[in-house]
Amino acid sequence: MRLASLLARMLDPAEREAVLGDLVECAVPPGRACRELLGLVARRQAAIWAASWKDRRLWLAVTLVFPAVHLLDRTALNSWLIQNYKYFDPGLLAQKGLSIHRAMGEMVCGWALISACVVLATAGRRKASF
Amino acid sequence: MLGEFEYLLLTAAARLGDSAYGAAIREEIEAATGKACSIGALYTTLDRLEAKGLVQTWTGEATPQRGGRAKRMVRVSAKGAEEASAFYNAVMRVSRGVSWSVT
Repeated sequence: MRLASLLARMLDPAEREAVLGDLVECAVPPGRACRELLGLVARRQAAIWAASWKDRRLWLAVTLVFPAVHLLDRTALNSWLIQNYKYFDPGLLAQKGLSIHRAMGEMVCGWALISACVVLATAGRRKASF
Repeated sequence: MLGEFEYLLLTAAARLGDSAYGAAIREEIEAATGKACSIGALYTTLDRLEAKGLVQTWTGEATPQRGGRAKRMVRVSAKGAEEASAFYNAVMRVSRGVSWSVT
């Protein structure tokens, strides 16, 4: 029953009391008690995931995070390329579809977008503090 | 329309009346169906019924045979009785004239 008590810690305190009490009262064997508790915990977790799946904020975050990660990745690559441009053969870079002008253009666009996002994110907070 | 297990739970709670709580409902369902009733199914269905306004639950007193732990008491609401009655009537209507004798 010790393992069952440990598993029951994943439930809300009020529900934990009722569930453990029911298991004791019904004299459920420890092995079956653990299986039943795992089943209840899994159902509770599934309900939480199902609820968050319907939440629009999750989808908004997913649709914003992937382009943002790609943008940051390209910006970092371009910054590194510009810094180390003198060590590379321009012909070789051109073969790979890379050039200093393109890298600079992309980097400027990237930083402009990142700066705009930071300004927009902080603007709301400043208004709220007035 | 209620689900089969929801109907079983409502009926067991109604039969038990003031002494309806988790373990008692579970035993009632197991005795009626002859099948095991898991705690997970019982408690998630209770939550669903409560969210629909078909039952009310509250924390009851603790007893020594439960290791001093509190009970989750259950009461069927008027809406719950209505829904259970509608389910029962539908089953009775659809079963009219049907014989389930196994040959």
